[in-house]
Amino acid sequence: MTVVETDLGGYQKTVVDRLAPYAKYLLLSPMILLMLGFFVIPLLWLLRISFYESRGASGFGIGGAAGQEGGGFYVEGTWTLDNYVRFFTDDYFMSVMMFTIGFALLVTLVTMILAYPMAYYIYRAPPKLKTALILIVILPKLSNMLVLVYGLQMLLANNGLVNELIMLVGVSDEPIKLVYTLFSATVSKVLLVIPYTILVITATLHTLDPSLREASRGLGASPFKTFWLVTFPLSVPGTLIALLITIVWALGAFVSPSLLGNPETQTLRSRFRSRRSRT
Amino acid sequence: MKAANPSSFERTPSADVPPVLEVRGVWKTFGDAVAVESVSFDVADGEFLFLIGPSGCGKTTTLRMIGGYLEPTRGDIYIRGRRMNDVPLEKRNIGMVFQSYALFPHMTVAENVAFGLRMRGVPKRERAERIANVLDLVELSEFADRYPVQLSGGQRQRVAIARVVVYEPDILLLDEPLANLDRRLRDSMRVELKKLQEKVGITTVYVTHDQEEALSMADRIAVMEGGHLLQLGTPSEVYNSPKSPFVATFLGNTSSYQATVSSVDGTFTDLEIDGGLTVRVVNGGDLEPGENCLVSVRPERVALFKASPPEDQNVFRGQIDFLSYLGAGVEYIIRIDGTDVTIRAHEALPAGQPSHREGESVYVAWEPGQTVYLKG
Repeated sequence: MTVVETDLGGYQKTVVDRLAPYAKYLLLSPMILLMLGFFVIPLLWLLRISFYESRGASGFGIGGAAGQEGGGFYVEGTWTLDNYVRFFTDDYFMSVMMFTIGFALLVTLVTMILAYPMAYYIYRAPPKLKTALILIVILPKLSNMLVLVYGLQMLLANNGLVNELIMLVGVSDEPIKLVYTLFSATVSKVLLVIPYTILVITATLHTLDPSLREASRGLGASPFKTFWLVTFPLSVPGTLIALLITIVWALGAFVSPSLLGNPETQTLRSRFRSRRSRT
Repeated sequence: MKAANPSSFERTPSADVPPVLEVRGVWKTFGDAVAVESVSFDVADGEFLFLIGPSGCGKTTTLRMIGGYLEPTRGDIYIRGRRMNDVPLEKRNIGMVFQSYALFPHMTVAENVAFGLRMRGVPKRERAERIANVLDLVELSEFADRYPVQLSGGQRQRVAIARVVVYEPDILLLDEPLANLDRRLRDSMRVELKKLQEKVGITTVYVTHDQEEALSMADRIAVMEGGHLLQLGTPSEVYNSPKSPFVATFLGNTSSYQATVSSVDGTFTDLEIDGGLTVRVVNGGDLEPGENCLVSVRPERVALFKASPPEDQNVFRGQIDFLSYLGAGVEYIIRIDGTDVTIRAHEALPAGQPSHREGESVYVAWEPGQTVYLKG
């Protein structure tokens, strides 16, 4: 039996009809255009530039008078892997990169260790205390990042509040060098990232059915076992998202190592900037 | 063990076995709000007790106090003679089945069932054996390695029961366990649950607002309203001899009226209800002329006649105002002629067709002994 085409009364599907089902994707377009124009395309462009032959002056200058001999840092339209070879064989660059990764892991570790208990406490807190705690967590985000970092710089300075306290208590007779160390760089980075981490973990915990905890207790599990066998495993997926956010954020660290670290605590991003301002 | 309060509803001890659960004058207040007020009852070994009432009546609060999820503000709870008030819930040997089932989503069926045994330090080999037995009991053996999301509502429900039955708790607590199931499944689960409870012989307290569940499954029913325990008795006691207007109207359909005693005549008493009708009841010897009371009659006790109604019964002539076809039966609402009084009558439909039509004139009749009266 052959399939007879249904007569649509001579109605022909127009282009608009065919496109109608895809109309919902228009909702995505503003964000996609923004990402394309200001992130993806520039990034691809940068990628392309990384394959240009260098003129030798500096690997990082971009631009220069186009078409003029010696007028730029790279030769447009050329292809080479030299830049990559140089990056990966140069001890200096490698040490900066290793530090960047190491610093990110350190910041992530400290952040997670501090954030999870806090998030759990917020989750279990009665409603009013919960609101207050969430407010405390997001309050630092109301101030500018630089203000926060400079504030920390003053707080941790040799004549700062923390050192005065240390000497008052008698832990040490002279101020301990806190600022411009790995310690201060880590503290400030953790402070910058941790609100997001706490909020994500808190939100994850709140999606758990509270009767699961009750069921666990009812089945004979102590509060600790209930946490360890039920609450924690179920919070792992959301906690991993928090971890990812924290790592990505820490990898892009720039202000903290620059303003509160020392030349040893330089990440790739802070390196980029100092190289560029020097040239 | 005797109750401090003689007016509490106690089961007459048929055996010398002490009750498994004793609730003694328990109160629960949240701030100024009183959720449970002076509730006392006993549950015998192996008994299936229902706590029933509308939402907010305190039934779930009572259940949660028994389970240890809430502390009573006042009063005591004993399990097998041991005072439970300050015992943390993980130390009470109680099995609670939640309305949401609360299965651990990251554990398989077998792991869920194993949880209670692990917490009790049951060795691995014995654990496996008991899990296999209980899964066999609830007919879920082949689902042992599935995760809760891979199960249907009815299966999850059975896992939730298996998870607590497996460690042989002193008491099984069920909080509206069938509320999340569709009607057909609910009906079959009702039968299964009752059979399971009888097979395991576990003392069970079951909270529901569904009177059908309570009437069909319970050994005894405790009807609660506004934090009070109004009546405790077997399903037929509670259904046929309600002690308060609330109990009369909450369980099953009923037609009830405010009435005044007009004359007392030996075995029978005549009551005048609103609208000037006289209803005859069998006097329990406690009615005096002029007293106010509430009379009610169940729709299934009321018969309809096209002509020549029986004598010596309560007979009124009226018109069928409304007819609802229920499949297995039909319910009529009849307005008594010359009044605004309406009465419900239920007719089973063996022949499949209702015997009367809307608008038809009929006699309604029922025996005086079928009329329930409540003083006050």
